[in-house]
Amino acid sequence: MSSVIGIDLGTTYSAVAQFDEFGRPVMIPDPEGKYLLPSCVALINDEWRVGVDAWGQWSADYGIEDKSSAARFKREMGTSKQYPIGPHSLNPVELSSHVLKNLASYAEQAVGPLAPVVITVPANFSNEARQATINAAESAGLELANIINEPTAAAMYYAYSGKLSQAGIYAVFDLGGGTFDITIAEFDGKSVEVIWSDGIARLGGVDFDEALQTVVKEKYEGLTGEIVSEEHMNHEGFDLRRIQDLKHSLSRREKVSVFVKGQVIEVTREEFEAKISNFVTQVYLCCENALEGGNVDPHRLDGVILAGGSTRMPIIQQTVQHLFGQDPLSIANVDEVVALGAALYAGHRSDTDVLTKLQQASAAEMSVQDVANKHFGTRAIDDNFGMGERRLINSIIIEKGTPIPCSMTEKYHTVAPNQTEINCTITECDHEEETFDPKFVRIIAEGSLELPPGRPPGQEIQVTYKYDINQIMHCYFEDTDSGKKKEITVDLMKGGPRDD
Amino acid sequence: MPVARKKTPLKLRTSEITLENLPTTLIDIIGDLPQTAYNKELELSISLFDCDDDEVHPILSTEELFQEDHSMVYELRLSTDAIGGLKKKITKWKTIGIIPQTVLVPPYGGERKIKAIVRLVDIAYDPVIEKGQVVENFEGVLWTGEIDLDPMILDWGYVYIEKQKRRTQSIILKVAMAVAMADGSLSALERKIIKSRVHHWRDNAKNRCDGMTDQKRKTAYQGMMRRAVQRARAKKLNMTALIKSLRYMASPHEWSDTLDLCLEVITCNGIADNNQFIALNDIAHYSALEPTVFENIRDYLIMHLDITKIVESESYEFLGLDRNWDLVTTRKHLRSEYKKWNSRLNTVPDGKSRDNTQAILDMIGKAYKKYTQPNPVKKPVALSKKTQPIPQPQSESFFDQAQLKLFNDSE
Ligand SMILES: Nc1ncnc2c1ncn2[C@@H]1O[C@H](COP(=O)(O)OP(=O)(O)OP(=O)(O)O)[C@@H](O)[C@H]1O
Ligand SMILES: [Mg+2]
Repeated sequence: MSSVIGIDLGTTYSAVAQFDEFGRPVMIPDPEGKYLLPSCVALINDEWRVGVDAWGQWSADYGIEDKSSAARFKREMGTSKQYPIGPHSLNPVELSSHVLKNLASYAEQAVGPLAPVVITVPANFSNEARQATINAAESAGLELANIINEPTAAAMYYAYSGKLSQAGIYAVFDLGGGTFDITIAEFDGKSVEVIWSDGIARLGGVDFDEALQTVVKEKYEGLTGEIVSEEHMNHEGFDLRRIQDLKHSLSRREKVSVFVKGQVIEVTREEFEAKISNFVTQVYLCCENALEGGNVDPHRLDGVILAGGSTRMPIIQQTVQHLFGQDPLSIANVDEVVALGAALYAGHRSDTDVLTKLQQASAAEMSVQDVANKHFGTRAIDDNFGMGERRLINSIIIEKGTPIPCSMTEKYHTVAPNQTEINCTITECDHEEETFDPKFVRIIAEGSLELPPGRPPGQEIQVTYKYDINQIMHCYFEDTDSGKKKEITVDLMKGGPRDD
Repeated sequence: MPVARKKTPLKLRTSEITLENLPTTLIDIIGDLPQTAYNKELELSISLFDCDDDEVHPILSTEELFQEDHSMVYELRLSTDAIGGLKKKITKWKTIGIIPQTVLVPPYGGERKIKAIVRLVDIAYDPVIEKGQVVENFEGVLWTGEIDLDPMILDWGYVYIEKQKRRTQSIILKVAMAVAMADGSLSALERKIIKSRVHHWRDNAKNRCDGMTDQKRKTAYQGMMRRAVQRARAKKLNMTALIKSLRYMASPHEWSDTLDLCLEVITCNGIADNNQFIALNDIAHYSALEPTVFENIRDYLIMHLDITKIVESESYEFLGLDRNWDLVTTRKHLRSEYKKWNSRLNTVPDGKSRDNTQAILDMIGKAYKKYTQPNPVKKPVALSKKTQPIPQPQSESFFDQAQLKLFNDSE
């Protein structure tokens, strides 16, 4: 029987967990016994390496033109960025695929042949980034069962663990190496219902590392009067690997010292926190918006649960305290909850006949309901009741935050005499955009509905979007009068029209 | 020998009726078709002219259905099929034209003498008609007739309207010039943009038909540009006064033209000056357009400026904050701005748009910290200009309380 696994493909660290024979989620260690694999890729002696060695190479490459390594590429998923590595040039998909291959290969060694895997993505990952993740899995030769939002995976693990003292509404606060997500969900036993999800695509530990690096650099320059140029930033004192260690120490201590070219530089937690205050404010803003979006009173939350390594920082814990009026619950290992949840979700989504009896029992107990993480609509004309200029608007049909599966219908009408065709577009946006501006509203699928000729304008057209449990959205454009209908199917996991 | 019937030439007559409550003129025809028209596919074209002065001006139409292909000039084109065919000999009056009077726009207001020119056209040599005159394929015109009309027209007249339009445009031009000069000088690029807009106006006027010769029109628009540059050089452009006067003249369309031109001028070099924001603010204010318009303006700027060059003291206007707002309103506004741009980060295209979006998020973060700091002693200089001690919020949301607490604690 093949093994059911879930993968947390992180910005700084990745991890893999298994849904074991007893129906429990357990971490899978690498050959050296470590659970966290640095998400770094390097070409060392003509050999592709992933993990700790590559991470070492990457910090040595810092500030240098000719690099032989790459890291933090998850943030560029879905963009056209290229990473030169030696004579090669890799895109984020290829780099992620190296990481996935590495994880899969040690997982396979540990637990045997793999069933289709689940991979996690940040809740506010764009469609392109999701698609890029799917492509990376494919090019790593992995069969993908599904992708799942990281905070939702974390929530599943918390629900499973039984460590939450009561049913109720909880916030999942997920601050990792690259991204921030805040999800509000209702927990009841082992079931999770997401209420709202929000996030910041580029905010995480790596930004804090850079801020701390700047603090050290500025202090050094202040002390010595020497200006440190970019190419000297890979000097051991500014080395981001050491800076990260320093940052971790600052989570435990008020003050740390570091040697830079023979100088002792002292950095206080206060100085560091001042440097990252803008990031903290943004986390604040984002959480406030999420609470508002989910219509949740922060003081009535039953608890705040954490995911992501950066939640260990005292300033973040204070922020949680201030925002929600309560301390976050520290009941699990924040580095592992996402991978463990992914493994649970993989079990939950598996066909029962490939599971052991105990796995089946465990999978059956769980349930998870997510929400639409975008506004879905259609491009329409606003003719202002026939007066004034016509303009293109984005008319929303399924609102962001609507529990899925769901089905919504809106009514429109034709505008021209003898209109014999309707352009059916399916749009998607993150913000409730009113006007149709292609910068902010994306068309994810298109088609056309033919209409009978010779009719006056004002013919009713009904548009129905059905969003199903498998992340497929069926869209129907129907002419009420003639009954003519156009169906367009969108695969939301991939963010585009379904090929079949 | 058979007797030949005497040929009667084609004749026209008009009558006035009320059609669907609107005064309408009918044109009827009677007589024999010219022999050249036999066995051909025919069309009728009706153009209208104002012949009250020595000059002859075409009549325009407000409805696209009654316009020439490339202008607003009135033309009614009908295939003979549409009027049930034309016999070789038309022995009974037959209606060939229905002219709703309310669509007609004469060159001048008041009572005018108006003539209809009716042409019988062979579509195999489809004659090209521009501003009522045949300019190509003359041989396609098989017959031409004319008749006086006496329609009731209630309109200012397009020559008059065009004159008003040019006056408004000359002010828009000065506004744009003032916006361009807000940073102290008129750059070559700014000048070029403004000039090309003037050319655009000129060409549009030509297409619309403004009763002017090409030369006259050219001189008019050149003069407009020259005067604006002179005033700008002499530093005699008072922004507020200009915008206020636009308020009495500009249509929504002209306001949008104004904004559009100003935005182009402001963004052409990638940086904007605080005075330019203030000017835009004024425009938004006096135009009395919906508040969402100003939001759209800012959105546009954010996408097209080099945001990183916006200095902190300018971020206030830029973020759409109002100095008279209290803390709660300010915070609420910033939160919704954050939500908007953070969400858009997923859709904006790679490159400059995305970098700008990222930069605006940082800017909002900074402002949120700075402008919502409750302690008046520590308030930033930018705030103290107009606003007196910041009123303490009366009702605070949970977020605001939490935020206040954060700031107090961190002191
Ligand atoms: N004690 C600590 N203090 C401060 N930061 C910490 C601590 N422990 C871990 N981190 C930071 O947490 C980050 C890693 O967390 P995690 O593994 O959850 O993120 P990730 O999965 O790589 O990123 P993401 O989920 O955003 O893609 C790193 O930036 C690391 O420096
Ligand atoms: Mg993570």
